[in-house]
Amino acid sequence: MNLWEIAILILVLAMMPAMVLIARGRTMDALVALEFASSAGVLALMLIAEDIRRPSFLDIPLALVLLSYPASLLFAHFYERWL
Amino acid sequence: MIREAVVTTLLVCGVLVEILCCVGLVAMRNPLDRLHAIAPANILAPIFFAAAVMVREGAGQASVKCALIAFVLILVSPVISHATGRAVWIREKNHREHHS
Repeated sequence: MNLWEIAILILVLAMMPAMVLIARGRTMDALVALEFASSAGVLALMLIAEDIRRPSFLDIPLALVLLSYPASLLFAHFYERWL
Repeated sequence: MIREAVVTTLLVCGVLVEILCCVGLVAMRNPLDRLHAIAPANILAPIFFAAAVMVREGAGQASVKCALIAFVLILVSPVISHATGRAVWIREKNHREHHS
């Protein structure tokens, strides 16, 4: 297990409390935890692609970060008053 | 040798930032405090990890893509934080007005 894999493991473990908060926390706490989990997921995917030395796999975190942006914005917008 | 030491240092720094933000996320009680706690994970950690990849790979496809990912993350995360904070504030304001 090299250093990159340890970093990936810690990132995935760091996402676990956020998952618990998303599942069980209050609405706005869950939204904040979702924001943290999505950024940690992007970074974990980036480190995985670098660990196995496949630069083409870096398209996946790039797509995820571009897709999670409107998703979080929409969640925030609708949680303002309608949900 | 020096390159490996720099990569290790950058990776450890990024992981430490993530762990501290995770602890902050769990320890805080208010959504706005939690927003403050996760901000370094969106700004500092991508810089550290992208820098680690760039030092390891040198100039190339991986470095450019990692820099792009970090750049996009740094660009969009303040916007999302602002929108979330605004949503929290409006919800709490409506809640106070309903109960006063």
